[in-house]
Amino acid sequence: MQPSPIDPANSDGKKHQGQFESNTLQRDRFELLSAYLDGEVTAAERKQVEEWLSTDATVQQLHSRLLKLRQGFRSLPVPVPSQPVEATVQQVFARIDRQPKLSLVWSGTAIAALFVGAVTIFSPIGRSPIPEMASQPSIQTPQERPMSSEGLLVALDRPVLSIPKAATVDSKAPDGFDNKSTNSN
Amino acid sequence: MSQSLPVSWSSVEATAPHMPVQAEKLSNYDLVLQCQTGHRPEKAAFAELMRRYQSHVDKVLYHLAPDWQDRADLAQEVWIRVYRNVKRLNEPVKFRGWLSRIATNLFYDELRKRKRNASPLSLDAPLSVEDGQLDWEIASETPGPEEDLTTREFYDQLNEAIADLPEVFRTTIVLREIEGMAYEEIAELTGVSLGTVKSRIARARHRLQSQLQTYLNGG
Repeated sequence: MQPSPIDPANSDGKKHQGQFESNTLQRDRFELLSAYLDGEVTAAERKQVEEWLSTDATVQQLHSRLLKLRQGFRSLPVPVPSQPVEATVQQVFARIDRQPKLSLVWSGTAIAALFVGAVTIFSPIGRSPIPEMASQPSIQTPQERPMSSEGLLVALDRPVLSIPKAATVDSKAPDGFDNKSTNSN
Repeated sequence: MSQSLPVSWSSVEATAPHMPVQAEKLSNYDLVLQCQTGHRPEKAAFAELMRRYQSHVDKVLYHLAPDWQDRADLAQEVWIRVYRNVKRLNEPVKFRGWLSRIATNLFYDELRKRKRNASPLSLDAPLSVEDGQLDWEIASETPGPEEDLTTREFYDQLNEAIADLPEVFRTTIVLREIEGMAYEEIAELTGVSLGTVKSRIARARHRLQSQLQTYLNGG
């Protein structure tokens, strides 16, 4: 019984130390047969494979199996499409038509952004009205002050400088306006 | 609202040419030529091109990415690339191969993207298997049913066996057997040596023929 030169599945015969080498050899030979099938061999390799094919029944059987496998690949039915071809046609055209519009939108956005940028940078007024509006909340801060700290309340109750009472009376006298108003009331 | 605009645009463009082209009557070669005329392919001709070759795109994507649910989106992207670049195809005879290549490139782009985004700790579901892990010594799990081996069953089994191959082996054998690429093209596309391509194809074949022995031995 002659051992098959190729089929790695039939490697039961050699179980001693030569098995690894044998497997490697068989693997190389299977590779050669496979490459032969694809026409990817040199002239010498082709000759070698053809010699095996003419003398070895196992190689012939393997070759025949590989040919059928190839035939299977080539005649594989087209898989059930995930959607009808007309749907794909419509979707592709919709996307193709949308492309120019999208680019217009983007270029329009870019121009607008440039314009805003230019106005901001080159504006003769150092500050546009927008930052002023943004500073408005600072006007409202005094309303929050009573809640902020007791120390501040105390400070407001007391005058910064103690002013003599006489001076206060004198300062009000020449004015006359307050007196009149109190009189009228 | 955003949907209505493109539709109206397309209808305007579609009705613009008054010359009936009868793209359906053109040969594949002439159809490709027709699509290469003008600034952009004429819609009727391009739609016909899609109708003729969509099944091929489906087949290529199906075998390259059997477990992806969004292959229809990928197919759309393939056709958009074809639409934009068909003018640059120098040999219209080779349209089919060129189309396969576009689909395959797109598949690899997407695969890289998905691998980048994939969780690095997916221990129970490795995304790719290195070459060493597809053993030559195959213990076929399913000996195959012995009764009533119909062709339908064979195709089902073959599809299943292809889908079960580790990714690098599946893509390589699909590029060879379904797309008909030469080893050199495959090596270039997948970024490996000719020797690796040769070995991957052989190992994929070995496993498939071993799993499908029952079907392949019959007269």
